[in-house]
Amino acid sequence: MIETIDRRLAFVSVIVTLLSVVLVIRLVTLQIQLPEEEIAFLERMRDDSYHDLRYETPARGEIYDRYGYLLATNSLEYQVGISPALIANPEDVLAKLAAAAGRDPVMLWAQWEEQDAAGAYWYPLAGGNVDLATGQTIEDLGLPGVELGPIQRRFYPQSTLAGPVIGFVSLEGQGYYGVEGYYNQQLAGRVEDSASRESNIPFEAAYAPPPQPGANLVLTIDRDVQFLAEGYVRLGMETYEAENAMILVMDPRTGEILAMAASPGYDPNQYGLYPAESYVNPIVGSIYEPGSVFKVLTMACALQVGIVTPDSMYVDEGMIEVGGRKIENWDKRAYGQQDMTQLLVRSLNVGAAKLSTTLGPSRFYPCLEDFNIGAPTGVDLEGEEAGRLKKWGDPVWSESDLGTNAFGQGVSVTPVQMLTAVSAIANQGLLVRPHVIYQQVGVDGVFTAQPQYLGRPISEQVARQVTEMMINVVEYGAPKAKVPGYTVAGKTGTAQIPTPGGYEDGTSIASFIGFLPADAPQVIVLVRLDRPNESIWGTQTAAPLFSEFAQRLVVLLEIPPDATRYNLQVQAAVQE
Amino acid sequence: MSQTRREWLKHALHQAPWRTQVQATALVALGLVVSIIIGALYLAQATSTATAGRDLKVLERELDRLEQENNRLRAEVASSQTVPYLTQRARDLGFVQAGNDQVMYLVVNGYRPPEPEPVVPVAAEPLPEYDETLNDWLSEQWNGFLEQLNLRTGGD
Repeated sequence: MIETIDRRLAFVSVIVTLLSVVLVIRLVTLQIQLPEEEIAFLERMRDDSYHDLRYETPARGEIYDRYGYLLATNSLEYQVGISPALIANPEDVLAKLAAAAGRDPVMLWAQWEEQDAAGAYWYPLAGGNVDLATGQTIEDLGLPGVELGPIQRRFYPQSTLAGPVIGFVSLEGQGYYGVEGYYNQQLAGRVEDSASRESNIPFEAAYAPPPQPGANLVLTIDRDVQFLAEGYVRLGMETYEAENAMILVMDPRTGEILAMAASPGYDPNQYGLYPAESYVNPIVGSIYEPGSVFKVLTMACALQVGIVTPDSMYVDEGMIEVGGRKIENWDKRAYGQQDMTQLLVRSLNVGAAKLSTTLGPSRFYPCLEDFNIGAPTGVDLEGEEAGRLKKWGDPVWSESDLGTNAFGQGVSVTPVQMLTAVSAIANQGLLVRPHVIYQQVGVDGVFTAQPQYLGRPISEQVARQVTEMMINVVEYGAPKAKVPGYTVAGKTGTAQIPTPGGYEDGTSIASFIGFLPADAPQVIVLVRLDRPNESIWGTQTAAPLFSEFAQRLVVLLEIPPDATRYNLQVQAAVQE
Repeated sequence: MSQTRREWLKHALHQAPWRTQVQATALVALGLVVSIIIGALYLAQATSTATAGRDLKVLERELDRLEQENNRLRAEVASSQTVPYLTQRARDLGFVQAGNDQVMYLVVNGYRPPEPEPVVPVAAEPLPEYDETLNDWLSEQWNGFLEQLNLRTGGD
């Protein structure tokens, strides 16, 4: 008996010893011979057991208008979750929750019954997320089975104001379109530094490297002017029964964009409710044929090259053939002897075509390129289009283009491109890059945007000559664009709308570009109406809309009438 | 002289063997006391660090809450300053829009027309990184202690 027990004990001892040896060998191999990736995996397991990874999203930078009014900020919402299994007294809990969240108790009870019957272990509170204050009220109640999940949101307090200029931020925190898209990196802050390890064993003070917040952006947009422009966009659409409208306001001296209003616009707080097409800012992202507004560039090129002077005369026969294509004036009339100013005042296509053909493609197109036609302006907004300028030598270019391009047909531009080109005339021949950022305020300091010059397409003298002609255009050709008390320089445009088979009948894009005060321009404005029903002509629609808008604009921008301004200058000189 | 002393010591120990036991016990007790002191210091330090860590967390949470509340209030202020709201308030108060012909411009000596100012708050600079562990702290203290010791003993 004892021998049997001894044998069994010996057997068990051998087995245990063998197992121990195997275990020791395995431990040794684990310590010595383990591949690096396995070591890394085990270290990760160890760290994960004793540490938590903590993520801190840096605060996204805010966006302000030029005078510090908040246009975009961050907010916190709460998703309220209900776990039926954890609630013993649903009547009481739901009644308190309904009172705190401002929801209908009957609705909450119906939702409870439906979810409870379906066996749901968790469901979100009906009626969507609650705001910060409500969330904190619910949290203070300490209701069992009611959980709060914080959700970061971007909030645009001005609602639809300047929506397409600002853009929006997705639920994932990515900025899209407008300033949010273009400056996403600067606004987002430093995300890569935001993860930190936090010990579960409290022998170390929790360490969380603070994420670098995003920079705040101050825009050149003037909130009041933007509001005014958006109001006149709506008014213009109603008054002239237009499909769409837009107004762009810029300081020609610096390229600062003061307002950028275009229909239909959208509310970035609820961007999901709008079709994706509405996200694109048409002022930078859609191209059109500008029509007769383009004649000022043709004229400027002709004067710059020196083939004409303002007093040069030509005989307008009402028709000219260029590259086998007949070009006629808008009213199909022949005007006889005309000077250059009359050419612009009467907006004569034949005269413009004569200028471009006299210049020839080798001089005409480089000059247009100097005005940045056919190239993006570099405006700091996402989604800018370059426009299209068929140049001499392109396979798609034909000789007739030389004639039609002179009056803005067969050439495509964006509204911001067209305004920028004309602003060179207002700015003594200097072309400035349009921009919407005034300042970037971040941890690295304050950066103020400086005017960037794109070049000098024309001389100061030519700029003065064309300005004088444009004053005459408003005075005699488009008197509805006049602004009482101010000298306005401008040009109307009535452009046909191209289709794959030619041009639409009976419709147009009516536009007007004007700047004032003409002798010392402080502001340049583009007004555009798409397919106005009231009249197709820019002189009858865009010009009067410009006038009405400009009369309010000068008050907001504190631009005194010409007479007052001269008196003030004299008074100031005397007092000095 | 030293030979005589060693013999005296052997003789004394032979006569009182308990003295050796007392010495051993005293050494063990001393070790125990030192261990207890080190343990107590470690525990006190760990407790203090843990408490500080917890306080830090509470403060961070409070800071987050206040920042959120601040954001909410600024957004609320901004919502109350929208142009439609202000226009309506102005109308309610009897104001009317000034026409171009109703504005009077005056020359004021030394007056500079308003220019846009950087009126927005500058984003707070990130706090300096704090990543010192207890071990780091102890090492630092120990090194400091050694440096002081070296100074006193004239070491380099």
